[in-house]
Amino acid sequence: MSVFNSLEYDDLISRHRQSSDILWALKYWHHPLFDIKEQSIKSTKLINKNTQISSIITPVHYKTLPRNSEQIKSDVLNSLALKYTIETLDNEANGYEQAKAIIHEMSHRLNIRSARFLAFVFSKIFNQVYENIYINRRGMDNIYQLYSLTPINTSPTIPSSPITISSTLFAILNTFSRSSSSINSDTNLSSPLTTKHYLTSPRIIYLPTHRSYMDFIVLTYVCFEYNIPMPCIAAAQDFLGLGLLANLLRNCGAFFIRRSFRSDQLYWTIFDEYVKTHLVHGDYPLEFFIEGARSRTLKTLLPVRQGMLKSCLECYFRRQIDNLILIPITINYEKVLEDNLHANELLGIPKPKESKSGLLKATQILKKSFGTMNIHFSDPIYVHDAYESFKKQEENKSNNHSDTFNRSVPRSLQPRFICQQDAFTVSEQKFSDEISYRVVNEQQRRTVIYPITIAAYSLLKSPIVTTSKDRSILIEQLVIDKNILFTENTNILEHFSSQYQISWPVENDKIILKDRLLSIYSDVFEMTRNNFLTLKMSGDRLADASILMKLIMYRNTCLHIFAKPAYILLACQVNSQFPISYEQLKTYYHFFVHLFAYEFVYDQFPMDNMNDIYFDKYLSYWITMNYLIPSDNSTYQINSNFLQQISLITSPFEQYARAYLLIYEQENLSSEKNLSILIKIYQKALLTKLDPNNIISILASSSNVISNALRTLNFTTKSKILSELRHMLTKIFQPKSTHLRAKL
Amino acid sequence: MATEGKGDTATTATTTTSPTIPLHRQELLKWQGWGYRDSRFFINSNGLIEFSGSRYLLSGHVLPRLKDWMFSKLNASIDNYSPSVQEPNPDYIQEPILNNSFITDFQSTLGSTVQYSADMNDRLFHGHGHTLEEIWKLRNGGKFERLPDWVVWPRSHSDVEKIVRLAVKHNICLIPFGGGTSVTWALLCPTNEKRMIVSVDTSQMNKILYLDEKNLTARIQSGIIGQDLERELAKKGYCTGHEPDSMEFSSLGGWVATRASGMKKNVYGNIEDLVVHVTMVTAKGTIEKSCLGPRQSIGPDINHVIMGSEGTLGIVTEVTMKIRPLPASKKYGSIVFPDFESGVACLREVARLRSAPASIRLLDNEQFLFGQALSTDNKGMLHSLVDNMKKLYITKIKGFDINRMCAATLLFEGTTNEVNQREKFVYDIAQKYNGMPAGEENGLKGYTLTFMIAYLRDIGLDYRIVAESFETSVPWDRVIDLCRNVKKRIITECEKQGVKHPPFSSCRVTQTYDAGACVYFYFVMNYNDIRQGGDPVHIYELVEEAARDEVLANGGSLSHHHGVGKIRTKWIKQAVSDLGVGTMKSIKEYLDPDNIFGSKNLIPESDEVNEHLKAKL
Repeated sequence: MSVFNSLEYDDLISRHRQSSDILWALKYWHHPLFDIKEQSIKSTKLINKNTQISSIITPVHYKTLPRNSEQIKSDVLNSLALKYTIETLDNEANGYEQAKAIIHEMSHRLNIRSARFLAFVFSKIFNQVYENIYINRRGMDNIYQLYSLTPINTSPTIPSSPITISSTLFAILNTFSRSSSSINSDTNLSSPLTTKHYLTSPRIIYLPTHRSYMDFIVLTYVCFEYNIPMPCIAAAQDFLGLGLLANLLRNCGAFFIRRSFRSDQLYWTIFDEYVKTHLVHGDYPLEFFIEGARSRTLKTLLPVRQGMLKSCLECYFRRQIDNLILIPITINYEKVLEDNLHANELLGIPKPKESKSGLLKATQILKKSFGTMNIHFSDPIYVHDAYESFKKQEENKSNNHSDTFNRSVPRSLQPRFICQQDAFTVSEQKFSDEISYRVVNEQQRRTVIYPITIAAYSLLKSPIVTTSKDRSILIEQLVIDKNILFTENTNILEHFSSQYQISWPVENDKIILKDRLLSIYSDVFEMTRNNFLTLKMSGDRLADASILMKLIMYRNTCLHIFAKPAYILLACQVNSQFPISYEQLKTYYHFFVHLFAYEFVYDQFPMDNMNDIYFDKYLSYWITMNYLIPSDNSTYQINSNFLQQISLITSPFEQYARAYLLIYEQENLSSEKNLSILIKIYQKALLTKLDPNNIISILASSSNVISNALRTLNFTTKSKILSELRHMLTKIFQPKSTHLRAKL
Repeated sequence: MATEGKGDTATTATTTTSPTIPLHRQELLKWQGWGYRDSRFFINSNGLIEFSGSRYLLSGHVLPRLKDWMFSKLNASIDNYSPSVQEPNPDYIQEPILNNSFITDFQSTLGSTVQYSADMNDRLFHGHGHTLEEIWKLRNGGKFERLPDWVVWPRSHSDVEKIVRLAVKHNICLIPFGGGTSVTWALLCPTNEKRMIVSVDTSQMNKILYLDEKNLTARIQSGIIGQDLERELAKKGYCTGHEPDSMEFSSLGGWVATRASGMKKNVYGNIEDLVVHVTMVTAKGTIEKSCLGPRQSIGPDINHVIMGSEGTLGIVTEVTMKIRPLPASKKYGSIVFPDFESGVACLREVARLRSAPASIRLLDNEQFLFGQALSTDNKGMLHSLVDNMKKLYITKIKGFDINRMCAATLLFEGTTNEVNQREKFVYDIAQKYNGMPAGEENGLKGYTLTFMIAYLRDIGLDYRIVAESFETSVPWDRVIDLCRNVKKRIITECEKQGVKHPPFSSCRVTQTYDAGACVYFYFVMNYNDIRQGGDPVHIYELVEEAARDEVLANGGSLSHHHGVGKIRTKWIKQAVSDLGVGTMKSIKEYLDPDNIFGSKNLIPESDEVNEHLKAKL
C-alpha cells in the first residue's frame, strides 16, 4: 500500500512498535542550542545582576535562555510596549491588573515533564489507531541543519534493547539528573557554523494545515521524537473549556488567544508582545495555523491568521531578528479523527462545546483504525530572501515616483517599543499577503491523495444518488477513474501541484483497495454483491446527508489540483451544442475563477481585471489531450468521445456552481449585515428544502459553501452584483437548472 | 612626459613646518598599499609575522600568534602567496587628456609659483583612494579607466583662487586631493569625464597661519596633515584633539570636506564642533562667513554647506579651528565584559550619565580574540603564568565565557584630578554591568593597534585574504540588533556567494553619543576555493552591499564619518529623501554651474551613470 519509501520517509509507528513507549518517553532530551547546566551559580549571579538594572537596552543574558513561562510572562509585563499602551489608555491603576489577568489566561507553560507525559500517552494512542505515521526525512534534515545539528541519516537513537530494570533506571536517571552532560561544546566549536551558532538561534515558525484536533499534538510529538525544540502553539480560547486537557495542552506549549480582539488595544498589545518575545529571544519556535481554523471541509482555507503572522513579520521588519524561517507543514490524514463532527457541523448540527464528556465519548474512536498519517515538512521559507526578491520585483514593476506629500514612515523612524496596529507600510502589507498565500500553496502542493478521495470522486460524479445503482460502485471503476484523474492527466497536474502523492495499492490490487476502504471507512461503506462498494444509507435524512457530506469532504482534498483547468472543460461542456470562441471561453474561465475565489485557494487571490497566465497553458493542454477540438476560427468544442472523462473531471465544479446558483436564488432573506448570522439564516432556509439524495442540495446547505458564496458576493460588489452573477450562472446552467427547480 | 614646474621656495607663513609627506608622495608612501614604504608586516626567516621599520611601537617586533590566527581562523595558507606587482605598469596608465590653452595659460601665469606634474606615478597616486577595489587594482596591475591628467600643488589660498579661475576659464575638471585616504571612491575620476582633469593637491598648504591664544583658535591652511598639526601645536603647548584613525596621513581640508570624526570627540568634539570658520574657493569665487562669533543665528549655516561637500563645491583653503591646552594627564584603561550585550549596556549608561572618557571603544568577542593574537613576543614564564592565572580567574571564578567575552578600551584626558575621578566613575559603572578593569597596558595596546589595522590588510592580500571596514551610526536601542544582524548577514551572504571559508565578521562600538553610537564593522574573507570563475572583488562588493542594506534596514545611517563618495550614492536618496538630494543639487548648480568640481561625489547623477561607473570599476 505504501508509496512512502523508507529512504524519503521515516515511519514513526513501525519504529515505536519495536521499542518501549515508557523508555522512549523518558529518553534524554535537551535543547540543541541552550544548555541549562551552563547556568552555574556564578553565572546565575551575573544574570540576576543584569536583570536588576533596568536598562533601555534590555540586556538579555544568553544564559537566561530558554526562559520558563514565568520569565516570559514577566518579560511581557515589563515591556515598554505594554507600559506605553497602559499609559495611553489612561487607566494605569487597573491596567496592570488587567494585563496580569490577560497574560495569565494566555500564557503557555511548556515544560519537558508534561511533554514526556503527552509523548507517552499519545505514543500509546498513535500506535493503536495509526498504521503508519510518515515524516519526510528531507524536511527533518532541513530543521536539523537550522539548529546546526548533524542530519539524521541514522534515525535518532531509541533504546531498542529489551527492557531491563537497569536500562530503565539508567533512562530515568538520565532524565532527572542535572549532572550528566551530553553537550560537547568543544566539538561544536570546530564546526564552521559555530560563529553563527553564537550569533543567533534560528527563528522558526511552523505552519501546519489544520484539519483535526490532532494537529495540536502531532507536531509537539514529532519534535520530542526528533530532539528538536518544541513549539509554542497558538490556540483559540474555546479550548479552555477542556479543563484538565487544556492544562495539559498548556503545559505542552499551547497558548490561548481570543477569537477577535482588534479593538481591544490592551489585549492586542499583550498578544503582540507575547508573540514577539518568543521570536526576539529565539528560545522557542512558534506554531500556528495560518488558515485560522480547522477546515471542516478538508479543503485548504484562505489564509486569515493575519494578526499572528504580522506580529511575527514585524519582528523582522523592525530587525529585532535578522531572519524569520517559515516551515509550512502538511498533515495528511487518511481518515480525519472527527470527520463525523465536521460533516454534522457543516450541515448545521451544532458542534458540541469542547468538554470533557465529549472527550470521553471520543475515547471510543481508539478502537478504530485511522489508516496512515503523512506529515510533510516543506522546505524552509527564509523571510529575508523572500522579502528581498519581493522588493526587487516591486521595483521592476513600476517606476513609482513617491508622493512627497504622502510619505509612509520608514521603519528606521518608527519607535520599536510601541505596539502599533497599522505600522505596516504598503509594501510590507502586500508582502505579508503574498507570503501567506505562498505558505498555503506550499501546504496544498504537498497533499496526499488517499483511495477515499478517488472513491468519493467516482461515487459523487452524478449529482443525484436516489437509486441503489447510484449509491454503489464497482471496485474496477475506481481504478479506471483513478487513471483518468491522476494517471492520464499527470502533466497538467504537475504544473499546478507537482508534489502531490497518491497512496494507492501497488499494481492496483483491488482486494487491498477494497479491504482498506471497508475497514477504515466502515461508517460510510458496506459491501454488497461481489465487488460493489455501497454507501451505508439508512434513510434518515440527516444521517444520509452526513454520509454524503463526508464523501464530499474527502473529495475536496484534491479539488485544488483540478480547479482551474477544469473551469475550461466546464465552460465547454455546458455549451456542448455549439463551439465556443476563445474570448468567450476566457470570459467563462475568469468568471469561474472569481466565482470560486473563496471556495478554492489559487496561487493568489484573484484580482479584478486579472488576466490569468495559466489559461492558455491549460487550454493547449486539453487540446493535446484531445478533450477539446479546436476549429479554424479559433473556436473550441468538446470531443464527444471523451465525454465520460470530462464529466468526471468537471462533476464537482458543476455541482459547486449549481449549489451557488441555488444559494443565489434564495429570495432576499434578510438585510442582515453580520455575515455569520446571515449564513445561519440562509442555512436554515436551505435545510428545510434539503434533499438527502441530491449532492447539490447538500452542498448548498453546507455552512461553508453558503459562507463562501456570500463572501464572493461581497467581494465582487464593485464589479458585479448578485443579479449579474445569478444571471450568468442561470445562463450557463439554464436548461438543467429550471428542471432542477421544478423538481425541488 | 615629465614636465615639472619649479616651485617658489619663499614662504610667507608665520610658522614654518617640516611636513612629513614629500611633494611626490610615492617617495615615502607605498604606491599600492597603506602607509610608509618601510613599514609593513611580513613573514620573517623564522616563519613568523614581523612588523618592519622603526616608526611604530610595534616596529621591529614579532607577533608570534598572528600567523596561527590567520592560518587557523581564516584557513589561510603559506602556499597561497599572491604578492603585489612591484612597479606600476606604464601600459596601464591611460594617456592624459591635455587642454593646451589651459596649460599655456597656467605656465605663463602660475608656472613660476605653483608646482605641477604630469608624471605617471604622480597621476596614479592622485587617482585613487584606499578601498579594497582600488588597492586590488593597483596590486594586480589593473588599469584605471581614468586618471587625473595633471597634478598641481598650490601653496596658498590665492594660488587656489588663481587655479580655479583658470579652470573655469578653460573648462577644466578639478578634483581636490588632501591626504588621499578616502575609502569611498571619492578620488576616482569619473570615467566619462572628457575634459582635462587636474588634481589639486593641497599638501603644500601646510602652515599654521597664526595662533590666537586669547580665543584659543588657530588659523590653519587646509593641507596640513593630522600628525604635523598636532606636533606643531604641541610645540606651543596646544592641541586640537582631533584624532581620526587616519591622522598620520589625512588632511584638515579632507576632514572638513567629509565631516570627519576623531576618536577623542567626547572631549574635543567632531570636526563640526571644532571648526569656527572655514574658507572655500568655489567656481564662482570664495565663500566664507565674515565673523568669528562662536555661534550665530544667520540662516542655515554656510559652514555646513561646506562641510561634507566632498569636493563637489570647491576647495577648502583655510580653517579657523579651536585649540586646547595640552592635557596635563593622559591615561589608558580597559575593561572586560562577560558579553557584548553587557558591554553595550555599560556604554549606554556611560553616555546617559555624560561621563564618557575622551575615548571609549567596545570590541566584540571576535575582535577581542583577534587582539589576543596581536600580542608581541612570547613573554617569560612568569608572565605567562600570571596571564594564565588571570584567565582562570575570569573564566572559572567570574563565569566569563571565552567565546562570549569582549573588552572596552578607554582613554582619559584632562587634569590629573579629572582623570582620576572620571576613571573611578567609569569603572564603577562598568562594575554594575559585570565589567572588570583589565589594566592600562591593554588599553594602550588597543589604541596603538588602531594604526596597525590598515597595514594588516596588505599582508592579508599577500595571502589571498581580502578585508575591509565600514561604519555607521545608530540609535542606542538598535545597537545590539544592528551589530548582530549585520555580522550575521555578512556570513550568510558569503555562504550564498560560494565563499568556502568562514569569514571573519566583527564589529566594535567606537563612539558614544547622547542618542546613539557609532559602530565599525570589519569583514575579512579568504577567497581561496571560491566558486569557479568567481571574482573575489565582485563577491566582496556584493557582500558589502548586502551588509550596507542590512545596516540601513536596521536603522543605521549611511555613514558616520567616511562620507558618501561614489561608493554609496545609490543610497543617498533613501537617506535624505528626494527633496534632500534636490536641495544639494540646487546648491551645486548655483555654485558650480559648469561642474568644474566634477568628481561626481555625493549626488547621484542618474541611475545609468552609476551602473556605468560600477561596471567600469
